[in-house]
Amino acid sequence: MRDDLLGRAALTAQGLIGLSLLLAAAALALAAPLLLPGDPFDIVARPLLRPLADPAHLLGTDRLGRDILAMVVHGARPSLMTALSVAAVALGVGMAAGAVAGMLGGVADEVIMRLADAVQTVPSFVAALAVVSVLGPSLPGLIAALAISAWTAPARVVRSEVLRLRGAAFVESSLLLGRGRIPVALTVVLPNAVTVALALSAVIVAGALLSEAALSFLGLGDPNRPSWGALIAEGRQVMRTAPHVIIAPGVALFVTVLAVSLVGEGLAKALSKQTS
Amino acid sequence: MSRSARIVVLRLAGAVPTLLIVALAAFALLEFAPGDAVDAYLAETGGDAGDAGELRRRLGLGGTAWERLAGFMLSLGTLDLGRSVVFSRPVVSVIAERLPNTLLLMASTTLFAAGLGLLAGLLAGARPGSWRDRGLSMTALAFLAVPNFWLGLVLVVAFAVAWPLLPVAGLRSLNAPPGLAATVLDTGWHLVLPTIALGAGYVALYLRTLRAGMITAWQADHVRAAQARGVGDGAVLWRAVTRPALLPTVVIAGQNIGTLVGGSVVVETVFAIPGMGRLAYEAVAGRDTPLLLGVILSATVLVLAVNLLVDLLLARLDPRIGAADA
Repeated sequence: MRDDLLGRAALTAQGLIGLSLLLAAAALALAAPLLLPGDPFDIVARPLLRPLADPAHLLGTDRLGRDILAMVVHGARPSLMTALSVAAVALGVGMAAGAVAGMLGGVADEVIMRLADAVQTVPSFVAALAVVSVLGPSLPGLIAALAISAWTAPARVVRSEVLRLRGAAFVESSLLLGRGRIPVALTVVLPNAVTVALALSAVIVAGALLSEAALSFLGLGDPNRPSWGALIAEGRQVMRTAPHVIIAPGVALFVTVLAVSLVGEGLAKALSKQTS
Repeated sequence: MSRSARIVVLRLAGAVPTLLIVALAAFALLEFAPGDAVDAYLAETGGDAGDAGELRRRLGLGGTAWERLAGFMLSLGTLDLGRSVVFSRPVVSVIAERLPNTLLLMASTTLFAAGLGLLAGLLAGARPGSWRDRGLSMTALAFLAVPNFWLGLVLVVAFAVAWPLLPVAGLRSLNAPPGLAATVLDTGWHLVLPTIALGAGYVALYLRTLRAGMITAWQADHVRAAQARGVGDGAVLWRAVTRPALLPTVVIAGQNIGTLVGGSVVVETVFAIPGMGRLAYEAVAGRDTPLLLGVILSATVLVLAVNLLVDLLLARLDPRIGAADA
């Protein structure tokens, strides 16, 4: 039932539009080196060329004469890569933590949930700033900084789902076979609680896209990649005379986040139809 | 014990483990951060590296990790957050100076977002599924996808160049006339654009929450009963549908205080507002770990305090909350 959830989400209008946009963005990101070969940071034309002024540089150039279209398309790679990795880590850690907390109960449950309370109290973006400042601006550092706050929501929904399933016959029988509670939690109970957590994935990806862009905007992203946030930050110096420099990466970010949110709406709709 | 007193006690008891965990995490951060306060101090004053050992001992930075942890916790207990490297002042005084501006921005953002969002939510939820509802819901989804710092920059470009009507930086004009009324007016004028940049997403959040609550309420038996009794449409919409749906919007407001603080980091940076959010960025940029820890800890206390206020407000609105048998 879980396998066709995405399929049924795609059948809703929002899901279909969102999924198409997202696939298009992913395809562009993957094909970037083929479509626009070479280093996107290369200086290729005169600086601050307006959009559409030169067919070779459709979105114009920045203050150094670098092609904005190339940087925006290549910029999809670090942005999408970070956001998807954050979602994978947060869902993996959160679902495991929630399953273990719900299954074991007692002290383990108390410790994991108090930790989740504490994490949810600290403003997540401030926590991310702190983690990046320690780990340094790199892809793994960014992923850790954003995943550290994002695991709590999947942990909570999986925990309550596990509490509901704990007494079910198929769980009891696995325990009676003599398997430990943690292996049963992870291999028997968790697969049945995956759907509710997956519905959160869109929210996590959208949040990670926006936070990654904000961190890169503050100069805390990976300095060797043209991420959207960093492009917007660089455009700040010339935006009053050449606004196209910040418009293009901002619109790319906006459309991507919107696409993810639309997929999320579709998922939520498909899920509510399934449960009702 | 009164209901409010019980809520305060419960919340404070719940805050203890949270604060302890955050303090421990902050200490770990301090330990892992490259360099300590002494390195920073010596770099600043150009002192002799030979003094380092003596200084560390005096500042409680020597000894084992356990001794340092004990010292750290003790100074937290006396509200001593150490000295800022960048500002060469106690962290507490820097934060006290910056906090009011952030509180002001948070308050104006909440007012703006709740006002506009609830109004739009009411319009959408009054007739779910109508074209008006679909249009408003789609707009809300778009608002949620706009990056706040980018919206801020677009507003700066629009209002600094194309339409120079509103101020785009700081909170006060240099040439502002004296007097309380003039200062309030001047600051409010400066807050307009940052409030829109920070608040756009929350407008959508309030809209969606109220709308969802109203859709649930429309299906409730008491609404159909009221309609069957011949209660007027306006009275049904307001008393039976909207009022119960307002409660979750208060919960959402409380849950999003943390993201509001986080959002103020970039928005205050874009609009050059000397608040606590920009302070967090300045601390990271200046490798000022004591200051960063101070900001994290005070932001956490701020979130806990606002959540307490939200709980008290909820208890006033809903007599079931905090009742003795609950």
